[in-house]
Amino acid sequence: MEKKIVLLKDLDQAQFPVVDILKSDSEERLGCATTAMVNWIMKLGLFNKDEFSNISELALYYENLFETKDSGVEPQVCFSVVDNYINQNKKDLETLIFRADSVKYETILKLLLNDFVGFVCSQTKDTGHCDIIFYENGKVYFNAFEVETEEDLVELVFSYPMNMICFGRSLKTHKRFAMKASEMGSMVFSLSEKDKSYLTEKEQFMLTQNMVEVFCKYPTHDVQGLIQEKEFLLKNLNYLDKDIAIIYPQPRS
Amino acid sequence: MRLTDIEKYISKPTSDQNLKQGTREVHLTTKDLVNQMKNNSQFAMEKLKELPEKVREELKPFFTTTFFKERSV
Repeated sequence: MEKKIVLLKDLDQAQFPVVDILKSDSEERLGCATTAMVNWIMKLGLFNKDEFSNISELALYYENLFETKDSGVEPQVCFSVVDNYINQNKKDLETLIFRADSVKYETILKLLLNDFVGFVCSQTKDTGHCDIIFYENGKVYFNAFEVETEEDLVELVFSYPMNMICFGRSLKTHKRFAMKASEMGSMVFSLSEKDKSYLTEKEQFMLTQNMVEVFCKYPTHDVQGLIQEKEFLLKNLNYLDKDIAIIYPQPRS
Repeated sequence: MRLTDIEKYISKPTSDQNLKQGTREVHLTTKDLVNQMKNNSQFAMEKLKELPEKVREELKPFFTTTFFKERSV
């Protein structure tokens, strides 16, 4: 993937993610949290032209929000800004939020495989770091850099137990619809009480109604066929049980 | 914040300022990022151990051949 360094004023022409945003032709750069936020929003395709007239404005807005008295980044502080963004964009964004010690590596892989873009707020030895993680064309990227081994991936995501990770996916490109569990076939899954606590309120409600929520990029696809293709996902996603399935099918090529 | 505010940040470079866009691009790599963030605790490796071998095998076709590298944890 091309590793782009972009001037603030040129962000509108940039291909995301960018590695760094420079304020001017000097070396002064915007912070990692701002860069990650801009990359995350742009990768999700959620730039709002009604809110900001250009991407530079968006970047400077978040630079101000992330700015702290002390230098460096604290995961929890950065995450509060992300959390506000999520709350303001609920209708356009589906999200799953984890702290590193509460999520399985397996879940991270499954979400990456299914078009979720992760915003990772990490502790580091000195201060902290924010960046995005995503999957594209068979490869995992952190920032714009290919993550070649799973050892590197776990080091990036799980550097500290208190790292915060938010996975987002645009509802503009991934439509949701629901179907009855009985239409799902005969697959049976188990879901512990702890796993259930990770479900959203809506998903927990669906569970009580014996409904299956299907997330599908192209709802006109033959859902049964997609389910068969992705059976391994269902079997291994620990969120699932006999009453509910959360499915993230890929579009057919 | 409007475009006029942005222009405050975009000053023209003085003669002694050099454009060094290439420098960071050349030096920053995934390894650098990993090294910056590595905590050397067992936490990350414990997470790796939790991934069932069966899942790893099932996911292999979706990643590059180097991603699921032979390893011992």
